[in-house]
Amino acid sequence: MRHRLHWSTPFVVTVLGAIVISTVADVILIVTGRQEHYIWGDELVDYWPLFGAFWYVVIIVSSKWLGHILLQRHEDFYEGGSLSADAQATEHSHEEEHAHG
Amino acid sequence: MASTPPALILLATAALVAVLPRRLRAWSMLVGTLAVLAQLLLVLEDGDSLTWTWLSFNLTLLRVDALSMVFAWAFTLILLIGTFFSWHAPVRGQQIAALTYAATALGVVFAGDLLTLVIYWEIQALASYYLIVTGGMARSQQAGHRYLYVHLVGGALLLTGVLWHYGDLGSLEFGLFSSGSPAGWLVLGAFAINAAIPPLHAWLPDGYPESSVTGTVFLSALTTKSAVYVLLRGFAGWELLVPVGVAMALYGLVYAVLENDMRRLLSYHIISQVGFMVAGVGIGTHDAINGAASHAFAHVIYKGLLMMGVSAVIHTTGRRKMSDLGGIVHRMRWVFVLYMVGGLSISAFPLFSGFTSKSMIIYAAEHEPGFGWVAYLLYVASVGTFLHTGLKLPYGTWLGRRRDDIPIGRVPVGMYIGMGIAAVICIVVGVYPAILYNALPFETHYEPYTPAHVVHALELLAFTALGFWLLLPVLHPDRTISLDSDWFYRKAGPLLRAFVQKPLEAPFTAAQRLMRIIAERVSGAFLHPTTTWTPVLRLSAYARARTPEAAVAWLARPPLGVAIGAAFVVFAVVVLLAR
Repeated sequence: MRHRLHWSTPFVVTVLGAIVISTVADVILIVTGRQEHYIWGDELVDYWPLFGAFWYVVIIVSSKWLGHILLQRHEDFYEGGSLSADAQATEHSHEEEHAHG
Repeated sequence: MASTPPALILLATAALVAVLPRRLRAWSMLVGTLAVLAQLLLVLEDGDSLTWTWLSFNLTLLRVDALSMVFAWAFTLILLIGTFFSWHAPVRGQQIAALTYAATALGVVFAGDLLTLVIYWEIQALASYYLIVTGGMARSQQAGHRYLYVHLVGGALLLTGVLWHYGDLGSLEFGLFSSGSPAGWLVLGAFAINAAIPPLHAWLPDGYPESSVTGTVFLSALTTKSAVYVLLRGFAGWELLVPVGVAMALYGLVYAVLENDMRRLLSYHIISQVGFMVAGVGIGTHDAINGAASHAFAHVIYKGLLMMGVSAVIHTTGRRKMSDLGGIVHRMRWVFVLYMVGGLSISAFPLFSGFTSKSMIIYAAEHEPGFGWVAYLLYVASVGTFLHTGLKLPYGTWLGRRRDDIPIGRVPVGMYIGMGIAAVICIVVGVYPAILYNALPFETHYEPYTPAHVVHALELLAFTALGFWLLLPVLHPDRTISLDSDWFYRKAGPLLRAFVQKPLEAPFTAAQRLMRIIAERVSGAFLHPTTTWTPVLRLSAYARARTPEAAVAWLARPPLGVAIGAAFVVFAVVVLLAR
């Protein structure tokens, strides 16, 4: 998952298409007066896209930060230092990856 | 059959499975499950009941109403789905445990009194424990034991609360608890453990990923949703549950970002989704109760589907972490497609079940004065749900750079059938929600498919997906575990052993050691009787023989008689002392 997705992949094309379609539909709703208000601030144009993007970033950044400073430990933390079966399997798979280049 | 509790049908099936040969066991499970489905569809009606007087208690073994029927349908359908999913591996113990587990879940939802509830509750803990402890994973045993300890505490709380309640009111009827009663708080504590309300939740992500790939399907569906049912039955309108539910919905998201293990990630999302239901219980209006019940139904099915999707991957690759997977979609195309049906359902994508169920809880919060903040934060939780279950997990497991070096076995046909049934239900409930809405406890006028709702949901999800694309490099799973509240009792274990268990055991350990020493000495003395007893025998022989030659000849014979006699005497002494 470390690599970037090129914009031309089916996933990204689908996402960009959905954004365009839903934004156009949102404008139509506003023009035709068929908007519905659910929560604070959602009468603003493009509220929901901004809501999704903003909270997405907040969830990722805050979780990573919490994990880094407090929560995350090595996989064999509870086994007291000896490599667990899973960790061994993981290491083994790493070795296989290296062996295959 | 009208007044036969469905739990008894499944328990009888479990007994049958215990004696049937391997080739008939899965068929037996299927027949038992279909019998219960037929009973739900054709026989049981609102108002049916079965009472039984035991000692001086009037027990209600069966109480049928709309709320219990919604949950009963969900539990029986997941049993049907799980039966197909586990068809390839008819392991007797797992099948009996799964049937017993489902039977107790049905027993809970049809129990009309608290004593019946306690009995089913405790058996449910044992059956689910068995599914974990025999899971065959590296940590199944330890995780299973921790699971059992936590649930035994919950069971003790429940029993104490029920007895207190009976002492206060002289009634065992299972209805709404009055706020402020100590009995109510004790029972709520027990229900909170099974609903995985933080910080009492760690048994869930600790235990479920260690079960077998087939056992996970039942585990993900039954315990927490049984708890949601009893919360709806006993604590609807307790406003304390509103912030608790919202906190649950958000809590699971943080851990899901950090998780690498597929089933642990989904386990944290169970907590998050159950949070929606708990918030609905706390709001307590008709719409909120309808929303919690319908979301519980949808969640049982789509979470089962998600668990089946990743379990199929674990079954065929032997790998459970996203860091060891990816790039295999071209070899598991249908598993991926079926998983995504569950992923879109849990993300509340239009035309899938979550869109019609989850939104009803948010709708209830929006329309209840003072709960606008609840709706706001549940929308935030929805963003996180799509991010993890609909994007991160499928991307990390199936997509990404193509890999042909991962060995992949064949996916059994039964797994496809199980996942297929679940996917069909997700879509049917999403496309035609009236089929679920008509079964809810209260009449509903909620309409999920308004143009604004559909457009806003698409915008929310599309921009979340855009964020996923942009921040993809940050989202790689680390090869770590995340500390959770189980840290306290896992770290406290050695201290408890040192300061509580060992002092208690000390006298018994000392007595055992003493007995071993005595036994070693006695057995050593008779191991080589000719050398051990020679001095005694020598004296005896010389005393009895008339000549030295006769004494030597007598000693040359094996002194078996003396040895057996002496052994008998010592044995008699030991027996007398032991008495």
